[in-house]
Amino acid sequence: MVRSIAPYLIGLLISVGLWIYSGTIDYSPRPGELGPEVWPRLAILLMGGSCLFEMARRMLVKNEDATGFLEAFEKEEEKEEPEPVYPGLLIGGIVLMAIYAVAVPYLGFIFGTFLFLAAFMYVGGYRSHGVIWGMSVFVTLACGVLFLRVAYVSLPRGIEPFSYANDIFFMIPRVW
Amino acid sequence: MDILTQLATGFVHCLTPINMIMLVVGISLGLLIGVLPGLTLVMGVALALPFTYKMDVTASIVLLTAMYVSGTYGGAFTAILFRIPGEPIDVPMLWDGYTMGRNGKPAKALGWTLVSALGGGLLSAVVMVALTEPLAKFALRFSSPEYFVIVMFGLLSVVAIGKGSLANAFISMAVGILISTVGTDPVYGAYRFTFGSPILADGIEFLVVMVGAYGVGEVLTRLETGFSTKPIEKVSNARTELPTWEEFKEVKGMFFRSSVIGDLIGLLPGAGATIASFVSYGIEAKFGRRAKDMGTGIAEGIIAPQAAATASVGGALVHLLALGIPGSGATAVILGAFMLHGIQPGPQVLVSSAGMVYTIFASLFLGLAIMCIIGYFAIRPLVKILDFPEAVVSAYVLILCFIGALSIRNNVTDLWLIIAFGVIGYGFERMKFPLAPLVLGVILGPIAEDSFMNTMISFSNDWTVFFTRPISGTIVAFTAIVIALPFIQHALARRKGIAAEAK
Repeated sequence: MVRSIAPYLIGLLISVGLWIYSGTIDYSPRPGELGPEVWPRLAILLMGGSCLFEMARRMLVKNEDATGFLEAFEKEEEKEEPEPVYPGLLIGGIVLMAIYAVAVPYLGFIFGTFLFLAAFMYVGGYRSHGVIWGMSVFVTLACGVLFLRVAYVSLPRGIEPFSYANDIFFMIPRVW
Repeated sequence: MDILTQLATGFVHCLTPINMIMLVVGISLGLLIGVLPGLTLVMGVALALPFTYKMDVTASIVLLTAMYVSGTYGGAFTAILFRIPGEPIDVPMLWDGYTMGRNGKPAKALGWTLVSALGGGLLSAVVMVALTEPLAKFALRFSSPEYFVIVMFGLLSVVAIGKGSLANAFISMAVGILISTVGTDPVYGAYRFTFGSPILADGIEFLVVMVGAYGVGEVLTRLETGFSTKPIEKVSNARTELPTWEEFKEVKGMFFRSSVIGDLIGLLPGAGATIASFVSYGIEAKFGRRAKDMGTGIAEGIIAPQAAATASVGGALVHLLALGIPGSGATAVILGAFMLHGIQPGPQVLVSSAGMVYTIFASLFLGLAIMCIIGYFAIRPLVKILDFPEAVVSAYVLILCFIGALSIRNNVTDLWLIIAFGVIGYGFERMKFPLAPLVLGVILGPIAEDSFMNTMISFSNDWTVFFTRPISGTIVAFTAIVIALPFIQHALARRKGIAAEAK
């Protein structure tokens, strides 16, 4: 029971917090006009009300959930074994992305991306080393040419000496 | 006649090299996205969005629309050949498409899919051309109260028509609207929910939310299962065999019916290709001439979902272009592409940018033809892409998401935001909170707020105008009906259950 209502309780607490915070919005009121907190507060009411309703329904009524219209057209699928989950992989993936976000201003896009690609494939359980490193090099170079030289997307250069990697792409002559 | 002249001009514009390149690239990418199980249609369109920043607006919409159309078709290949639905749209394809393949006719099943996608798509393109301009002309009568209620109709339809818990969908929508309020308020210039952070004063880009929730979130969901897509069997006879005219004549009635159902569902704001596919299959299974044989590998079970899914695209584009209301995640992304270029779709767009709109229309006709040619001849290389391990594909998807974030303003904060929205997207998926209302809330929230505040200022805070003005009152009534539908359905199902128990 506690587990099933926990997300809604958190949602309700966030709604209360946001409602209070929206009261602190600083502005000069104009007579006869609604303030900037009104619209967000309507959304907060909807969120908090829905959380409260769902919590009450789960605790008191325990009937079937009211679902969207499409649910009735669902054909009952064959029962399949639930897929095993690996929280370690998930955490590994999130940590890896966070490391990328921290490192990319220093390593630059080229080196950061190359290392991220290889590391993510290892985290994802792929173990063909040749393919991992080969594809990481190929995709990094392809992204460098496509985004730095063709599309002119501004991407982090990083600090020296890593920034030279970006500069190399700008030495490629434009033929188009 | 004027419409036909404009459409002809649209064809001429569409045949320019850049638009044709975008069309072919969009069709090919859409097919690839459909084939790859880790990539969904909306995710694919969202991933392409950042790269349209520097493109001409027409070319970028042609690219995204082409991806949207062909994405409804590509997933059928893997559903029929390997029992892997590339998209949720393709789940009904498993019931008859895969079974027909198992009965020794995979080529024929693929042929029916191709014909259904082409037929459904062409019908929807015709409906789109015929309806958009009249609807846009009608919408010129709209004032701020009508805009507010039509936006709310779009948002609430997504909540009511979709799958899963209604409460969760409402919460998801509210979160989306709240995200859209972060930043500087447009009326007073006051900071809202910035928590003292200067970067949040500019607001949160909808692109970050979309790419994060759909792209990063989906990869995290797949990563948690250890990228467990089953290895595919080798299929040596992956080819397409078109149905004969005699075979087609037998199903032409239900073919037309399924296409019309798809088109009508597409016209509803809130209902996209997945809903069209399921509803059309469900109707055929309940009321069709061969209802009892559905699920045994018959053509009707392939035509119903595929024709409806592709037909829904044209319908969905009608209200996107005429009213500026996206009905699904994919059309929300296409709306985002318009907004990135400073264009707000709606009735005015047909007055100010008719050339662009008719080029988009023409691209749908040409795109369907190109999709069928590529689908017919390139099926083997397309399914070959499944040989790529999911971990490898997912790593590239993440890099595309990161480039999308960095391309906004080359600021690492956007990278952090995209990761945060990825984690939120994963959490929503895990706890069965739908993502479409969240994304639509982010996109439509500012439009709804703008029209709400304008109404309140113009009508002296009189909220009854939403009910008393004829057009807005009618839309409010429709909204109430749509919201009531799931509850009525639920009550009927309960009564039916009680009656069955009593027996």
